[in-house]
Formats: sequence, C-alpha cells, structure tokens
Amino acid sequence: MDAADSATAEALQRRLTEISAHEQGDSSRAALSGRDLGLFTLVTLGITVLGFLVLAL
Amino acid sequence: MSGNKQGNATPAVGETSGSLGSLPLLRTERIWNGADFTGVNISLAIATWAFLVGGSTALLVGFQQGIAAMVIGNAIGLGFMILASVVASQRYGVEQYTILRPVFGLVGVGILVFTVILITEMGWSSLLAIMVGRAVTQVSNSTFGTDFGPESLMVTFFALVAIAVSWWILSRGPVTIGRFNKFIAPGLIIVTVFLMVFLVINTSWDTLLSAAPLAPFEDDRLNFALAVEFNAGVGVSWYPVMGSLARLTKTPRAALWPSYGGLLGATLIAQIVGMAAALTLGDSDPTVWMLPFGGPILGAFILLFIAFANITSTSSIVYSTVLAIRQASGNLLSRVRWAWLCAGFFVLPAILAFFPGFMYLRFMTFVTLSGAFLAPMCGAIIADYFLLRRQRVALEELYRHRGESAYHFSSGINWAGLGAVAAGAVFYLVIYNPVTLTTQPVFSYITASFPSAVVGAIVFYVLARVLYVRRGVGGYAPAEKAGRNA
Repeated sequence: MDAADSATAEALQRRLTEISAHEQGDSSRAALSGRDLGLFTLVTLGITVLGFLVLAL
Repeated sequence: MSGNKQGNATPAVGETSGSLGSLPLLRTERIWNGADFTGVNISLAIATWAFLVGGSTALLVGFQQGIAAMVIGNAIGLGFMILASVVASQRYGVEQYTILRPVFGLVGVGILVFTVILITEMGWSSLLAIMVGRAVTQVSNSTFGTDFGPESLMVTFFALVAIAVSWWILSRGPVTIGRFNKFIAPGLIIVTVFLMVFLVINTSWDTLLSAAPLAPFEDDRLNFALAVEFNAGVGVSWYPVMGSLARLTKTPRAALWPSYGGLLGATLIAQIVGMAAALTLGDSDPTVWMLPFGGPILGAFILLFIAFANITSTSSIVYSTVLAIRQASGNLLSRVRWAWLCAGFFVLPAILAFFPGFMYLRFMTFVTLSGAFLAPMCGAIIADYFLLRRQRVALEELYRHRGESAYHFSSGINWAGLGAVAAGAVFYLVIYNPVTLTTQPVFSYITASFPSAVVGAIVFYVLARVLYVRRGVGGYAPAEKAGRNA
C-alpha cells in the first residue's frame, strides 16, 4: 500500500476481498453503458443547440 | 468550485469507515440514489458565486445573449467535466484524486493538486472572503452611516475575519460544516426567489431585453465568445469536488444525470437571476443589489446571510482541497495536524484579501485561467478512462506502493498526462490569453475550453500509446485481461 494512504493495508485488503467476492456483478459497479454515454452526448449537444436558438430568436 | 452541499454530505459520509479516506466504498456505503444526488447538486449550484457569475456575464452581453452564453457555456463545460470527474469515481467508489493515478501517476497527481487545484480553490476562497467583506461594509454603511468603499481596509478586515471563522469551522471537522450548511442551501434558494420576485415586480421583460451590457468590448462577437468561455470555465471549475461526491451514488445513472441536470438547471436559474439583477441595477457586484432590492432592514439581513453563506462555502471548498493535499503529499504532510494544514491553506487567500479590487476585477480572468488547465486535464482523463482503458481500472494497483504499482509509470509520473495538460493549456493560452485578453480570430467561433480539452485528449491518446501502451507499461492491458482486475 502506498505511503500516501493513511488507511491501513489490512482495511484495504478487507475491502478488496469484499468487492471481489460480492460486488463484481453489482449494479453499483457497472460501467457506464454505451447507450447512456451516447444519450448524454446527445443531450449535451441538444442543450447547446438550444442556447444558439435563444440567441437566434 | 465547491459548494454548500459538500458540507451537507460529509456528516453522512463520516458515518462510514471508508468514505472519508481513500479506500474504495462498499455497496452498503453508497447512500445516494438519483433523487438524493440531484438535491445535492442543486444545493451545490445555488450559491453566491452563481450571482457573481451572472453579474459578471452582464459586463459583456445583454440579457438575451447572456442567457444563450450561459446555456451554451455551462452545457459544454459541465458536459465534459462530468464525464471526467464523475464516472470513474462512481464505478469504483474511489476518491477522485486516487482514481486519477492511472492518468497522471501518483507524483503527477500531486503536481496537479499542488498547482492547478490548489490555486483554483485558493482563488475562490479569497473571492468569497472578499465578498463577505463587501457585504458587511455595505450593511455598516447602510445601518451606521459609515462610508467604507468597496476596496477599503475594512473590506480586507472583514475578509480576514471571514477566513478566520472559516478556519475555525473547518478545524472542527466535516460534521460542523454539515450542521451549518443545512441552513445555507435552503436560505440561498429563498434569496434567489426573493430576487426573482423583486425583478418581476420592478422591471419589465422589455427593459431587461433592451438593457445594455455593463462594460463590453467593441466587438459583439468577441463579447459573446468571452461570455460563453467564461461560463464554460465556470462549468469546468466544478471538477475538484464532483468525483468525491459521485462515489457515494448507487449506480452510474444516479451519478451521471443528476450531476448534469442538477448543476445545469440550478446554475442557470441563479445565474440568470443574477444577470437580470445586474442589468437592472447597473452593477455586477451581488453585494450592491440587496439594499436597493430589500430596503435597509431586509437588505441588510440578506447581506449578512450571504456573508455567512460565503463563510460556510469557503469551509466546504477548503475541506475537499485540504483532503486532496494531504492525500497527494505522500509522507510530507501526513503527520501535520488538520488544523495547521487548514491554516496553511489560508495563507495565500489572506494575502489576496488585501487586494479586494484586484480580485473582483480579475474574477473572470481567474476563472478562465483555471479553466485553461482544468479543461485539458478533463480531456486527458476522458481519453484515458473511456478510450484506452475502456472504463476498466485495477483497484488494487491504485493503492500499491510506488514502484510496485502498474500506475507508477516513470518516477510516479504519467508523462502522457502531464504532456496533455501542458499542450492543452498552451493551446488555450495561444487562442485566448485571459491575462492580456489577446485572442486569435478563431476564438470568436470555437472559444477555448472545449477545444483545449480535445487537444488534451488527443495528445494524451497519442503519447500514452507511444510511451506506455505499446511497451505494456501503465496497466493498459487488453480488455479481457483487465476485466479480471476490474
């Protein structure tokens, strides 16, 4: 464990074991889906376009 | 930029053993669903700096252009900032400066925390303290007939008092910050509503639409581009706190959408109200609005409330930053007492408090300059996490001792990361220099934050492939191998 971390190595190991044993498939540890990423990009672009519409009106 | 709800979050955080430190959170320690996190983000965004940003935007553009600039700037700035800060911390439940180690290396993260992050947060702290000084002197002038100017020594005095009180709150720990902040966010929502009501009663839509900007440059297109860039910089400046909050959420969706919707919606409302107030009264300083709006008693009360809100906001900012400093310093600061560490942070803001006019005058410069470094940082993080690592980080490697870690790179520095930040910042400063206000013609069309984030991402991707991926350094394993570590 790196010296920068004040937490103990034992505490870290306990957590890593717990995560590895019980949380691998858990929804809290899921990757962001491609669908959400695409939707997020589209929403961001849409709101940006909305801003330009405000300017144009 | 940080905010009030940071402090609100911390008491709950403190109830679990791992969440105040750098250890990855367990499922049971993730306490926020989407609705909870939306509330957190709304409270973050409804803060006095939103009024200040709205007022400052009114310096450059009128009401309609200002709304457009705020929508465009915040949408873009928040968009890539959230992808960089929220997603990885949420997935792994890891504090945001620890999860940066694969991107910049342990030493590289320290370099960024002690430069970009520290200076950004010190700037915001001093600005909030000076705002307290101005608010209190306004009350004094109104109530006792004194004549303290906006740059008088009394402003500095009360700013120093604000810093001292912030330090006191902070030194008592996150629970105290949380207790104070429980009252601040709802109070600021009331102040925002009050300003809206006053504006509806005292000004008309036509007056607002026809109000001229307060101190524009000659070139209208440049004014609009500067306003967009300023607001994009404000969006990006949420970076230092968002990841560490998002780690407490239960799912990726509960982190992504509430952070974007909550910050964007609340920011826009408060900023637009601030801009309308500035255009109505002809002054960009929020501490000047309250007495004409509320009268001597209600106005003074609101000013004192704003002063107190700024003090607790400062405590929240410094809390997250000092934690990051301690985390990034290795052995250097690990034994320094918390209260002394916080006191050390406040030295520069206290010095800056002696130049209240300078800090207010240079507010936009400071925000955009910090964005020049934060934007390419975000670009590098996105390229690393989404493109090269495909959202997979080896948790154990984040915590291994220096050379034993796959994320040690060369001497603890991922040179692709620091190279990307340097290249992106140089690109930014070439097309728009916030200090000299010199711009290239292209700035008026593309602004600077988003392009510099793209430059940062491209430079990172190329350098990382050349320096590390091809040589099998840095844990850039093929997806199927890395998957076992995720």
